Amino acid sequence: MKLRKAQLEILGLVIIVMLILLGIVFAIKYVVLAPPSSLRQDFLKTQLAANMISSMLSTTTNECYSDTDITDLIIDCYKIPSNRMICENNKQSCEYLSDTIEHMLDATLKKWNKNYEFLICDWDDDNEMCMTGTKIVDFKNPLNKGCQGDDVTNLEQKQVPLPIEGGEERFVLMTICN
Amino acid sequence: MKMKLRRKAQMKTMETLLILAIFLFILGIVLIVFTKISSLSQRDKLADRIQMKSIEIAQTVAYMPELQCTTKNVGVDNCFDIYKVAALARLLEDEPEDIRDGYYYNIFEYSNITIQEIYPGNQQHVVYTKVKEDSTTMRVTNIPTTLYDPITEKNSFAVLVIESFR
Repeated sequence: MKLRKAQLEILGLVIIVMLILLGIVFAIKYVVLAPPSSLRQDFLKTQLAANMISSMLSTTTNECYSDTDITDLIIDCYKIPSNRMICENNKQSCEYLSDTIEHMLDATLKKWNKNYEFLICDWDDDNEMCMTGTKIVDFKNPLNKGCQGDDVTNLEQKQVPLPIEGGEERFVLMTICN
Repeated sequence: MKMKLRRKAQMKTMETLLILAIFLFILGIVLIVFTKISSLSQRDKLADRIQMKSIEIAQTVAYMPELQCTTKNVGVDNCFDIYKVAALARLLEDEPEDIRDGYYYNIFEYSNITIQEIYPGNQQHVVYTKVKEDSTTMRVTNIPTTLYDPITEKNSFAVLVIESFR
């Protein structure tokens, strides 16, 4: 009888300890390991992708024809090579475009340790990839990985269509990874 | 018999004391953990609030008529007029007491606002600066933007940098 009473007391103590431990586990899970405010992160990511594309495309280049902006360079790059404009240092529009975009991305997103993918091509929405032979610019950070393996629902992607010669269109795609 | 009973009572008291000690020990650990958690979450909340303030400032700056580009009197999104930027910076430098510490302090509080040109040039335009000397936390918000020169009608690629202090 006495043994049973002692056992019950120990059981009570164990229950109290377990309840306290459960409380600690919940507190750690929901307070310490809680993800940072997603509203702020989402806003920054959206703003970053949208502003990055719009600012890049409207930038005027100094070293091609006067008043040439990045949009003009992209359109020009889809012309046949003999019809493309020549920029400074005898660079063709495609090469100059690639160098300029790389410089802009390196000085911003790469410097801020953001992972991204920047593509200019004919985008196939169904297969979520560029149509073969249409890609003229492809920059990723980290190199060769970009957003591979990231949760698709958390990616921020902006697409801007550009009309090129022959009534076709190509897309500028900026994806900010998780 | 009496001795035996006293010993039994002592044992009971010891047992109760031991349980109480264990309970207090666990309670102490719980209190320490909760204090740590609460201070961590307070720090996160403060950092979050500063970041929100920084975003709020970025939004305000982007649509300020003193800085925004206009085409036929219509504001252009995500674009700063290089001459307006220079004019405001000069005004804040010339009239620090009334303009910077009065009107603009109410909007920007303790922060540094600069526009860093990335391409084709690399000039830095300081719009507003008011550093908090004893600040413990600082958050930086970078927003890509366009810097427009209305005389040459050329756009530069730039970054609006907001540093907020608390």
